Amino acid sequence: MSSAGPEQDGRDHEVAFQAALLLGRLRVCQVVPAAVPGPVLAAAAAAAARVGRRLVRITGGPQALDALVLGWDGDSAPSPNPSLLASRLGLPPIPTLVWAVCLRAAWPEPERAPFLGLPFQRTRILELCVGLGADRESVERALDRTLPSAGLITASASELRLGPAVAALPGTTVEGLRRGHHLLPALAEDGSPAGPGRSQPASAHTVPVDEDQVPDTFDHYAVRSAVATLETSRRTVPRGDLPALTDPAVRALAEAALLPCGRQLMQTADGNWTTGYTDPAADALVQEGTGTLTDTERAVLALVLLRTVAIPRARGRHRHSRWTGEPHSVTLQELATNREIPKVAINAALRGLRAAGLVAETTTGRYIPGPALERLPEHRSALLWEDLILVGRPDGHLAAAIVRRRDRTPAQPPTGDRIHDNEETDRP
Amino acid sequence: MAEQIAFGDEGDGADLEAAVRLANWRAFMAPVAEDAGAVARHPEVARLAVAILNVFAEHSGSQGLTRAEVLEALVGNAQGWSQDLVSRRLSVLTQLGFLEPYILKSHHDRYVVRPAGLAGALAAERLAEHGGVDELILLLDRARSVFDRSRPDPDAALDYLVSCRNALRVFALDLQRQVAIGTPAELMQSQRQHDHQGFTRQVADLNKLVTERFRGQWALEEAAAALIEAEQFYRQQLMAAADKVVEQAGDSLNFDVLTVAEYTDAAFKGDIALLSRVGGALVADMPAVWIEASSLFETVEGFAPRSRVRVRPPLPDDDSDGEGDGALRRAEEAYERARGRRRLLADELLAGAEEADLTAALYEAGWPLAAAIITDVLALGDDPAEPYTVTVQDGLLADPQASVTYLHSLRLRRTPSPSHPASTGRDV
Repeated sequence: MSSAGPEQDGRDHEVAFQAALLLGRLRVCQVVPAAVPGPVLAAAAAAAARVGRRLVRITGGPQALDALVLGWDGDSAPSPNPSLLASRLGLPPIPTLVWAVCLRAAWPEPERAPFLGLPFQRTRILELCVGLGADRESVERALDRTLPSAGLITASASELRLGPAVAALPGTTVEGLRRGHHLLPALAEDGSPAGPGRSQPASAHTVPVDEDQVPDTFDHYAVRSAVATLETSRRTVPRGDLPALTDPAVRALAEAALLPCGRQLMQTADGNWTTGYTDPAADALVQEGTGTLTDTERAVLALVLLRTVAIPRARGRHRHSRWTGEPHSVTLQELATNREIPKVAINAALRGLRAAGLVAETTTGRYIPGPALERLPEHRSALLWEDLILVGRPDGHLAAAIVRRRDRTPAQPPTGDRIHDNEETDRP
Repeated sequence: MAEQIAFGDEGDGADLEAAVRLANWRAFMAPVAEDAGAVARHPEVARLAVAILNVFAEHSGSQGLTRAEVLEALVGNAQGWSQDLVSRRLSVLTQLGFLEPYILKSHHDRYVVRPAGLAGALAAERLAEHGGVDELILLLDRARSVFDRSRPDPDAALDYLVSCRNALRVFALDLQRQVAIGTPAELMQSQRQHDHQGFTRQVADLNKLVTERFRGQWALEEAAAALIEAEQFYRQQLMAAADKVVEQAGDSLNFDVLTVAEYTDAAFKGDIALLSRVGGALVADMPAVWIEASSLFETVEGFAPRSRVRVRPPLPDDDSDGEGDGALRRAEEAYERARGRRRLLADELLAGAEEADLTAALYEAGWPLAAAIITDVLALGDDPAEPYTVTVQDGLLADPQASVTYLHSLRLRRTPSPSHPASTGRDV
């Protein structure tokens, strides 16, 4: 009896950690296999519910899916406030058009749920979009890369289907799409034969939550709304846009709600708000190689940071202590002056870095440090600074001091080999 | 006499470096200075001395150079030194014997450089670069050269060992003081100056030589052991300084710790193995793509089908009677119908009389029919071909309870001669 308590506590702690890790994987990959132990699934669903999210399990379908995606519950979907909409990650115009055509092709009956919908032919989508005036190459890129990487469509053999991200769309978004269903561009005539392929054998249902594990507080709406805003924003959110967080009680609730999801609330030096991974979650994700970068991507990130941060700062040209927000940028041509990395490899790596949020592209085609760097806690930001010092003078006293510090600190992240699951495509 | 250039001219960023350099020179000159004001106040004077040395090296004939020739060679120098400043420095250098007359005769105006002056200028440069640490390296090299002789002098060897040990202690104590009380900027400066490799190896080699060549000579072995201890103490202080720099600079992303050249070198020459040391602890952290129904429909609307060829609109059906322009005729017919309707209205309002007050009729018609009546009768009154005149009274009838809240009284009158334009019209 005396040893049962600590053992149980240890198990609970492990389950909570695995649940946070599962939600961290979902943040990175958007879709993860549902093969996780029941207690972990239940704990993850409860943790998600505390921040207004719901864990959706997708089963069946032509590919015999059994996967999890993270959706929004009815009350807590992010606000459609126009000022906040601009800060969210949207699709460019042509991928939007292509997805609208795909959605209409897969969803002929608006009274039904859009996911999984009917299969549709790539060539017919391509023809219609080109007919509507979209550039063929851009449409192909959207069908082959942008939309699959966002989880909005999936490809199998010669046919396409709506992707798992559609199952995670908030109810308000689905309602909006349903109301404007008649405005979606439709294929001229559905020539595909009716039959087993047209059936919708897949199902998406919310993982049930034990209500006892989700404390219902007076401020839960304010907390969930703030978290929704922070988690969907590409950049830090100005403090004026989240006045609720100035209340220490709401702030404490938000922090407590984010923690089981492997996330933490952070305030920047200028008072803006953002969220980031907790250290244990980030370390575990790095350890298992989820959301990490390839060798080439890391090398190109180093080139970008050397040219846009380290060199200007060493010349004294900076105004603050953040990775982003300075006007220094770099072009592909300038990056390609490196004698060891081919330009083609740099270009491909930049695509991956942009998808990971670690590099951003300006409207003039120049590259700057990305918004994901703003989500780094202070000591992880310092780790990145140390990395650049190691690169700048690998055999200096500072490099030796950094190595000594890291040797003293256990569980340093691996700097070696791999990487993400699918190197061929951008990650979401 | 005050120098034309003054401390601080190089800008804020160079102030600290200049101050440290000046302090080093003052300390360097102290052993042979007559008074405290013997050392120039600005470090630029050392560069000027080196520039004068270069002029002598490049332009001097067999019998040296005159002052005028030196001045002429430095006209338009890149550093912006004035003739006056160069002239004054030449006077000082001549007085101190840095430059001496080719022939030791009074009023002889051809000069050559005294070699000791050259050594002083070079030492001053080294002092500027590394704060005197180079002298320590030279001292160790000289000590080694003593031991490398076939018959080393034990007294000279002992002197060198003691000198090296004392020098290391002095540098170590200076570092210890800076770790305790120095600012981060001062620490970085010192750290850069001490960033030499090989002290440990040089001291160990020296110790080995002492053991090999002076085995059993207690005083020398004791001095060698003391040198080892001093080196260890120096190394400890160096590590402490580096640790403190890493600790403080990492949080503020201070990249001044290395030179611009080191970062630039890494950007140009770094290979994937080196550069990929950056970002090993990073995890992708981007929100999922956000679908907003209204934005999606707006985007889709922008891709409305449009033809690349301008096509004329279809011609209307030909007039059945084949006379003139059908559209104009239809407009004239419509106008005639409207005029007929207005005449009927006027006759109805006049009820057979020549003149009528329309106020009651307007109240009876109510809003908005009253507005239609007013429009019609005013149009009738404005038409010169119609035998009607409309008079709008100035008085305003206001009745919040009435069917028409505000109204001017209107009088409609049939004119006797409809064909006479002067008698028609509207009196307001």
